[in-house]
Amino acid sequence: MESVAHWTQNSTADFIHSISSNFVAQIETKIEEEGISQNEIASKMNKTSGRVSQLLNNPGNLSIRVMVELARSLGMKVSIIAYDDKDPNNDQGPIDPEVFVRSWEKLDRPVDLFEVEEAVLPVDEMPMVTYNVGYEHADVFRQDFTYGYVCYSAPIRFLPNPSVELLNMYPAKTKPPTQVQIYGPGGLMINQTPLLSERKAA
Amino acid sequence: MSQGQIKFRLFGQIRQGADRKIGVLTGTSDLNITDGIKILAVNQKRELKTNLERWIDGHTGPKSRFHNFEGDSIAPMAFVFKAYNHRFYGYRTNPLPNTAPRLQVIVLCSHAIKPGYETSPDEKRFIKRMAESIEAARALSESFDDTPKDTKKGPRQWNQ
Repeated sequence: MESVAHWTQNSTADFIHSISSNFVAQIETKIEEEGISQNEIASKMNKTSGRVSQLLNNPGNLSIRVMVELARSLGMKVSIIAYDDKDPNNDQGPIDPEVFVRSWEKLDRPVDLFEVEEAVLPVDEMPMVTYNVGYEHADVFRQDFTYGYVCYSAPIRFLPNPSVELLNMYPAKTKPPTQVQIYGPGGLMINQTPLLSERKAA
Repeated sequence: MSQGQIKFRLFGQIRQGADRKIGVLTGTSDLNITDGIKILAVNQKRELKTNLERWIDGHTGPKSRFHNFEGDSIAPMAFVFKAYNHRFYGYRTNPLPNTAPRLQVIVLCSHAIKPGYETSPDEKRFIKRMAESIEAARALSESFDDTPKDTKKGPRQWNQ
């Protein structure tokens, strides 16, 4: 199929509208979630309610100053970021700001680059062990580059038979487990998940 | 135009997702989305496209941008996108239940300039009629092939 340029490639004004409107949507979502009135925001911004409404309805004309004032009136902050999403022709348009926010939150809200280095995103392959119920813990093995192979015990929660879910698998800022073993009475291993690398290959 | 001329096409120039897509039904005078888009001012068009992409990207709101009609007695499958005082109505469906069960497609059918706070029952009845229309389903099936992968010769492709 022939590639069609994304609409924000038509003009800089289009691009600005897209990112500004998504910023306003973040503000509107916060207002909706917290039940804040436009009057309260107006009062904190030293503007009339009508003026705030006007600002929210015309995202293409928002200045950085107004964006900061809007966010601060809700106790939020603003960051301006540039990124390379390997889409030099802008076929896909700008990345939704909420993608950045949620990624940051998943990393446990690091505040500097050192904390980013320490943090590891939980992987999709959350080990969901499907085996018989009746056991209370699992031994979780984790490949650790500093300490080698480490093991800790994790409680399990019984889900509708026959699944059990491992709890507390990913304490903040730890690497995901590479192997999970379920032990039954008497220490007999009854189930062992494949290594993550094997699961990915499968 | 006869019902047999109903066509479906994906909304152009916006980012379509793997799990969420938005398209337009055309072919009868009732199906007036294209006419509605034509009369939008520049900023209104920008706002519409931003809101369409917000849904495609996985957002569920805010309601000032778009919302579903879950629990509605007439058209629970209906969906509306807003661009200032313009409303673009459609319905949510999955034309690939066998091969892509997670897929959601919003099929836009009707444009209105906001008549009041509530969506009119006539509008909702029209959306329901289109959601149940055999002709609309046929138009969708021409764009989405739900034949399981292993029964076809080549790789699965979106037929746009």
